[in-house]
Amino acid sequence: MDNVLSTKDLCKKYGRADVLKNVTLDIPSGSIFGLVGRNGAGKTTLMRVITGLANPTSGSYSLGGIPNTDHKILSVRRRMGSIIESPAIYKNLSAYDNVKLQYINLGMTSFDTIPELLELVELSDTGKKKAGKFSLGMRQRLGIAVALCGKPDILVLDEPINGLDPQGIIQMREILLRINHEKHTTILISSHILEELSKLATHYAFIEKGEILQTLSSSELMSKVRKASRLKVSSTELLCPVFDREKIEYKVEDDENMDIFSDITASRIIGLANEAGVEVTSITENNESLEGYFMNLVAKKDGIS
Amino acid sequence: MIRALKSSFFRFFSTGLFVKLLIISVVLGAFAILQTCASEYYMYFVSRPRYLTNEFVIFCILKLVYTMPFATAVFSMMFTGNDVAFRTINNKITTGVSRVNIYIADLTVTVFASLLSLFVMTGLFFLFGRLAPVKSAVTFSKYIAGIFVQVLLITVAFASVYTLLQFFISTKLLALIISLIMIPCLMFGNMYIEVCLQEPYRESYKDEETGELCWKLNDEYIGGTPRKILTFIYETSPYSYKFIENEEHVPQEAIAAGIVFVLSSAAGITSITKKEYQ
Repeated sequence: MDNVLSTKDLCKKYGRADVLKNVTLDIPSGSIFGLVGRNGAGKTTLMRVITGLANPTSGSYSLGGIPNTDHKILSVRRRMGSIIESPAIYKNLSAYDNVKLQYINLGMTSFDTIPELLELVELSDTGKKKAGKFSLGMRQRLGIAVALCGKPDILVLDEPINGLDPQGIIQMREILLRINHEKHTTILISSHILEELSKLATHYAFIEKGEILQTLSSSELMSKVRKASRLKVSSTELLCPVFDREKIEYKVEDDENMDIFSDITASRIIGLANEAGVEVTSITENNESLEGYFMNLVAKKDGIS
Repeated sequence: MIRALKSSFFRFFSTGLFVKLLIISVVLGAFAILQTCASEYYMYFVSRPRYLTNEFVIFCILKLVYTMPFATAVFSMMFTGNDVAFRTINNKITTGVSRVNIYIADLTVTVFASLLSLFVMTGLFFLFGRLAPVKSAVTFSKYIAGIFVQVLLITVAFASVYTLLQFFISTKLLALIISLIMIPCLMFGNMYIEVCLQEPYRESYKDEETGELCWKLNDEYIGGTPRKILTFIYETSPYSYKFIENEEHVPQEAIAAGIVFVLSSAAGITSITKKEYQ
């Protein structure tokens, strides 16, 4: 699989602060690449550098094989669409005119495909309504339409579902999947809502304090995330010493809930609980979430594991 | 460059700015006419023979020295300021439109819009001069052309400075306030320069011992190259009114406007390549 976008030892400093530290990434063509990180981890900065809004302090990146130092990068950028932080749209223009303006920015002279694009993001019925009167979800979708102008090879989307209601999130997910499947557009996406990201991404990069902690495909991630049994008990405090003695790996959520990561049968759990004088209310299979996996990675980096 | 220009002009015409500009130009032009009529009421409407002369048009055009910077500052905020504040400038940068071209295109539209407004208002003055309910001797003259060209040059210079401010001050309202504050600053600065230049070369004093009137060199007097520079700044300032004296002043005004335009545009073009947008 070719890489649409590659970064090598990318660094970005603001004053003395290292916002990006030697970021090396390869984004495979046709993938949905999820960038996972906390607030201030460097996700937006990385996207701003890649899209040309900010210059790297050192290191390099290449877009479609063209390095950022090459003058041709300007023409290759036409093959990239982006939304950084929030959609950049003209509030006093209609959806059609916003898209038309981006066609002009791209040097396109035919506007025949605009209705098709608006149809794709479900904004074809907005007519002459100004974008300033759109709901947040509609603005986000218009942002996607603007980013999709010129049939880009790669979409860079920074928190595209931020602030959307559940229906808006589902709508956005369906649109992104359609774009990826039907138009074979590579998508680099960051999101705080990790469970939602896990429904989209084919690849992941985990970023913390400007450093890439790990990159892996979704299948690799699936094999790595640990299976857990969620226990609801009368007292986790009484049960912990018994599990410690038996060297059973666990994580306490609160006084009544805990996750067990060891491969252990339900009857043995109940036996150990009886021994500790604890009543077991329920046992459910509970796969470790993307969020949990990320938090463990971060904890390991911080040396808390 | 063509992409950037097409994009900026499309925005100018399709966002309603063009229509708003025309309306504001007509309103400001009418206001200048009313103000001139009010201040020169006796001369044109009471005394006989009741003639509207070229002087009327000149008085109106001179009011534009105050009106045009104001109108240009507001337009610059609504055009370039919105592009930066709404981050729509990002859509151009990320699709590979050169930053220099983005700057030049926005500057071109701001200059175009300012000049359009100037032409509309001046046209309105002539129209009123010809159609007013009194006899008219208003006609196009070389003198009016000289005054008009100077106001035009001043407008272009202001447009270039205001574009620079709107590009680099991320809060468009703050950029507008600074733009507007520049106008009284220029006026007071000019008054101060005038006072400095009026300092006499020598000053007299009375010798206490002999009681004779003596002369000594004035320490406050500014001479040499600084005097030449201050004189140039004073004479080319829009608020010195030196330029109404004769139309030979046009080349001097063109040099001053050219210097302001080139310096501010060079500063803008140099800075935009390094600026990091949010």
